[in-house]
Amino acid sequence: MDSVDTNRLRILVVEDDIVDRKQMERLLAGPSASDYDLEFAERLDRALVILAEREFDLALLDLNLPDSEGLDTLCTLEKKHPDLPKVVVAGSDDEQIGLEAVARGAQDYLIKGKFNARALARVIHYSVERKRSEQMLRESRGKLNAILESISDPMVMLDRDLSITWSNGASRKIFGGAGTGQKCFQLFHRQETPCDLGLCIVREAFEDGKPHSYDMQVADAEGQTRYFHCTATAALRDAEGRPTAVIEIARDITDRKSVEIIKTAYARVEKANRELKEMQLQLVQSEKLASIGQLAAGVAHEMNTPVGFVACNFDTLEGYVQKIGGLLEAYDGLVQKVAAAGNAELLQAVRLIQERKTEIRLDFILKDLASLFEDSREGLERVTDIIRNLRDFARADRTGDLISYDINEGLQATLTVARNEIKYDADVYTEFGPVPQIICNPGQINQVFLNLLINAAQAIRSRSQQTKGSITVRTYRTDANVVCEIEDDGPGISAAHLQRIFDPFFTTKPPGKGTGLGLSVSYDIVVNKHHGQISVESEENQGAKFTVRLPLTPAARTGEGAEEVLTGVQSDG
Amino acid sequence: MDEQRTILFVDDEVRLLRSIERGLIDQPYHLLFAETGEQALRMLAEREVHVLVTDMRMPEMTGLELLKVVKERYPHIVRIVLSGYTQVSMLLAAINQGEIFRFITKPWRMEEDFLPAIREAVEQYNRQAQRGKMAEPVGSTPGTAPDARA
Repeated sequence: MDSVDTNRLRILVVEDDIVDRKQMERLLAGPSASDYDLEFAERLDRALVILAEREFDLALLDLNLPDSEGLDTLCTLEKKHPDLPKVVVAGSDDEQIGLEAVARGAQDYLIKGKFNARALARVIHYSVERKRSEQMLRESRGKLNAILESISDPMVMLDRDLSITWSNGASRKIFGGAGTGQKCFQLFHRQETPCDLGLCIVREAFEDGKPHSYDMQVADAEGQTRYFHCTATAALRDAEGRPTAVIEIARDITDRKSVEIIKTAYARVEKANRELKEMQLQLVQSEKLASIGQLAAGVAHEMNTPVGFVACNFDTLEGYVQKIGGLLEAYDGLVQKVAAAGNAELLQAVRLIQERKTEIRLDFILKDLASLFEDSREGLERVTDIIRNLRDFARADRTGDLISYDINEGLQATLTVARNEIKYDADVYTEFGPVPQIICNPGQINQVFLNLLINAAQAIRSRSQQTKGSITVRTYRTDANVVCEIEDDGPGISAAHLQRIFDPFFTTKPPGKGTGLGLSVSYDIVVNKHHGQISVESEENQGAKFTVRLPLTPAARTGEGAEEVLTGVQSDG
Repeated sequence: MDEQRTILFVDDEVRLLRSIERGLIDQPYHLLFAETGEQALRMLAEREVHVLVTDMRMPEMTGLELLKVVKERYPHIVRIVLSGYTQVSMLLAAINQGEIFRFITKPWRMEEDFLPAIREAVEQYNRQAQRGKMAEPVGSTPGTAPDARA
């Protein structure tokens, strides 16, 4: 290589014919004889000996030597000294062999007797230069190849037919295959037809010339599942800039994916765990309700009779007191008359009565009686309400008639019933979606709706604002449920209260305004009796939304068959 | 004005009976009271009764048993239940086996529930009596004692 840059080229002339050798020597010695250092060999073996000892810039090679004939001569030399530029000197009658020699590694050829000194000089210089270029090209290609082969990401080059025209070692190692000739879908996806993806990234890259990528899951040559992030980039383009070849680089992201898969699995386990906890909570809630239900029933029944006769007596007592009051007035009239009569003995008796009246503050007592009865009656009514609620609660254990029912109709009926309670506090908006009929106990379900509607109205009222609130009643169906949402724009529920909202006896209403049983009764009806779900979403000052989900298909439930005969009988007076 | 009708109340809680007596003191009814089912049956054997109001849960003879006997022996007596127990099974039995006219729950509201039920029961009896199609009940010897409460 460096010899090109020196002034004198070292040339080995391999020629057995003394005349031709002299001729060559003469031509090379010409006007610029100082350009060449010449060495001569008559035989190929001699030439090989000389070449083994010293370095030359070029060989002028006669193919027909005493020890070697024709193209074999070139091939032998080419094999031993591939880097040496070679110019073949062919016989005047055989131009064809010159062309063949060039095809087999010679840089150029000369026809004996058909070249002059200038032509010879030019051929020599071009051949040396060409050999140098070839070597540089080979070296840089080797380097490039080494780089590509050393990249651990599989790479393939694809043409428009999705045929692999080149691949690197990583690709062959991971995906197997010969490296070229296969289609990408055969190599990567082990299938005989293109991927059914519409446009794959390779075709997309061919379409718009931009890089495209996606993640693929494949089995490698050993059958292991691996994940690759593949990017297809237009590598070669035609004169108009259209891609003619696309490079696809596949980065192994199996480790990252594994982490993701583990994360996903972990998330799934966590979700299941959360659901289990919720279910457990619901079970605890159900248990709590069952025992509370029994307790409530017992308490209610114990209280029914005494409260019954106390309330009854109370009415009578009020009647008695009114009667006595009237009588007292009559007596008072008598006392006035007696006082006017002026009999001293009677006056003394009157004074005693007056003193006694003052002493016991009779005026106050008579005035106070009304509010005394009013307050006590209010208390008795509250107790009566509580007992009735407890009884309803206990009765929620009992499954009544189960019939096919349209909850939209139920809601409409319930809204009619509740209208009086709601109308001053809120406007009601209904968004009823088409829902199929479900098997349920309409009375119980309507009780739930009523509870939720009244609660919403009371919540709105508790804001004590001038403007009316709104209650939105929404129904729709999902795959497994008929859903009813009752949403209000009332004051909402604090997080602390949310946890306890379905607990029996939990209430935020002022004393006397709520028994704390409405929502737990609702819970019992929906969850235990109808195998549905009831949930609440709320934040303080953000209103509240209660959602009731009732299954489309009734789950198996226990209940005395005879009870289902009872239709339309209301035990409450 | 119809003739005065007799109503028999049966409950094991005497205070409850007294409260009813007081509550109905101004009503135009003749009132009888019994603390057990057996006592009630004895009274029914002695006097004419038009309306029976009974509790369900009582020691020894239950309200249901009493109702069944009354229905059989004195079918013309209009039967009412006054009870705090409202289980469906009990309601069903009272309706199907006792053929009751009304079911009043404890605690009751005198003006709203109780008096209307009593009034309607008496009217029911009067309608039956007017139709005059009632079979002469067995052993329903009209009694004379105004108040046979024990």
